[in-house]
Amino acid sequence: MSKRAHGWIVISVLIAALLGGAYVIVDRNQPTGSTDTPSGFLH
Amino acid sequence: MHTAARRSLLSIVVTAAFITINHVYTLGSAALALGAVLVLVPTTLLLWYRKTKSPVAFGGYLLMNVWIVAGFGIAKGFWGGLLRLFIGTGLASVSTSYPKPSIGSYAFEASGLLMFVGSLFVAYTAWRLIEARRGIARSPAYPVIAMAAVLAVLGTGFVWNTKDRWSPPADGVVRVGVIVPRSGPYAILGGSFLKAVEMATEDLRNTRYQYRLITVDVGNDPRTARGAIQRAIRDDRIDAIVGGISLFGQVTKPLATAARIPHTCVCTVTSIGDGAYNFTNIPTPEAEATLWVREAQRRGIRRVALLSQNYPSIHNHVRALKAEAARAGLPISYETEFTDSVTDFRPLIAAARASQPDVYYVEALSPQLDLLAGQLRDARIATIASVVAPSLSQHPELWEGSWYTDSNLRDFGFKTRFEQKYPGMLFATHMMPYAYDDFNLIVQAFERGENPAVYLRNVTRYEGTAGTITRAPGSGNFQSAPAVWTIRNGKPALYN
Repeated sequence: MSKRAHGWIVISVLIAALLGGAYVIVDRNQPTGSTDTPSGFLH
Repeated sequence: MHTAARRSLLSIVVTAAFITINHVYTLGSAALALGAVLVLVPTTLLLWYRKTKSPVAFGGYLLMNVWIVAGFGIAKGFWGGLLRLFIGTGLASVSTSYPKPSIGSYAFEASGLLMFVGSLFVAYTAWRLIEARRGIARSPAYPVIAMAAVLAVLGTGFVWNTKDRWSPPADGVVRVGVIVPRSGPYAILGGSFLKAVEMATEDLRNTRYQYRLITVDVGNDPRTARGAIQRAIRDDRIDAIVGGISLFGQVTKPLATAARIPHTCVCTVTSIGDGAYNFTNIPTPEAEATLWVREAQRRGIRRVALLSQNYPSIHNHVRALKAEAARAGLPISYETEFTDSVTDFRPLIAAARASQPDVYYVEALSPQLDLLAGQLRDARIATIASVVAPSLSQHPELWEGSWYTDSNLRDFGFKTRFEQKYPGMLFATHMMPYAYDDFNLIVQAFERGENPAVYLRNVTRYEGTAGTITRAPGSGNFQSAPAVWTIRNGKPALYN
């Protein structure tokens, strides 16, 4: 395998790790609880 | 030269695609215009250079590269994306001195990261293009090391900059913004909220700092509220915010985050509380429902009829109540939802009565609230219960003997004192004690010499006028236990 091909593999793995890590963080930060838009006396 | 130019332009086009996707979330359809500029201008400049060898064209092309790399790749993709997402989250997990970062959708975050990665390709291919133009081909080690050094310096700067530090208030005066509507349909609640905070200010004794209230009338439209809040933050240099009503808490949240000042909100929308700069403080519908069902069972109630108005906040209560009733095995014998145009409830009452309930759960806004209570009385029905609503009735005598859940009051004298001090002013039990406590939480932070946002992130238990409020570490929602109330002699009173 050429040096260039090795380089692309390393870059691809790094990008996949970044995107995978982002997915995990976003997934853990999903809002929970009530998100209805309220108004009035029950605020 | 041609190969280097093609690769450079290709990396720009791909990165521009990521930039466009990322900016759709902030600019909307205008992001497409941005993307078009980022693709068409470099392409035109490169074609011009190819045709004329003009140094102006080449310089312009390189400037576009600098814009993409520095403005989008480094500033937004690296600092605002990668560092915020990974380093920011990591720092917040090990120390409360660091706020949990605001995190968007996966598409937004992923496009931000790819914007940064793409910009590295733009920088690298631009460097190769410059080398090709000069007719030399050196190892890319130098620019790679230089870029790594820049990113390392920025990473260190991010860690330093993100930390929330204590700084004493200017002139020894803490400016607390009170953000509630003072006009329109929320004027009564907003006005009494402000009075509760004023009472808390007057109750302060021997404090190290002065506490000045900056009242911000946000009107009744969340769209115009934004400008008023921004002006208060910028011009009045407020150090903290206490607010109420979720509609306005939702507007305040990103502004408090951007200004890095704490914002406590008496809001039912729990997603406003992020545990970083924004904290809600009010019993959840689930807590109300749990107590309501427990009280119903204690009273030997076996069947419940639900009559409620079609309204978002009421939905939250009814939904939680039904879930808790199902869990506890308490049957709902009848259920109906009415609109704000209904004035004759007799058919609904007759249908509910036919289901033979032991109690009628009633929840509505004024004037339907009292109309329904009056017609239940006319039908000689006295077994009425609710959540919160009767405390705000204009005719509490119609609710005599009914029971409901509402916020707890550790010290009932607080309500008495409020009503004596502000005669005629509504005491909203679901709001006033929290307004008082929220203000005092802010005061405690400054008196202890702690950054107020960091202080709130560390508070997991607080004994206030609303009783004991607790918060799970990392959560943005203070939880409190409601209490059972009744209408006695035409006034709300704690049942026990």
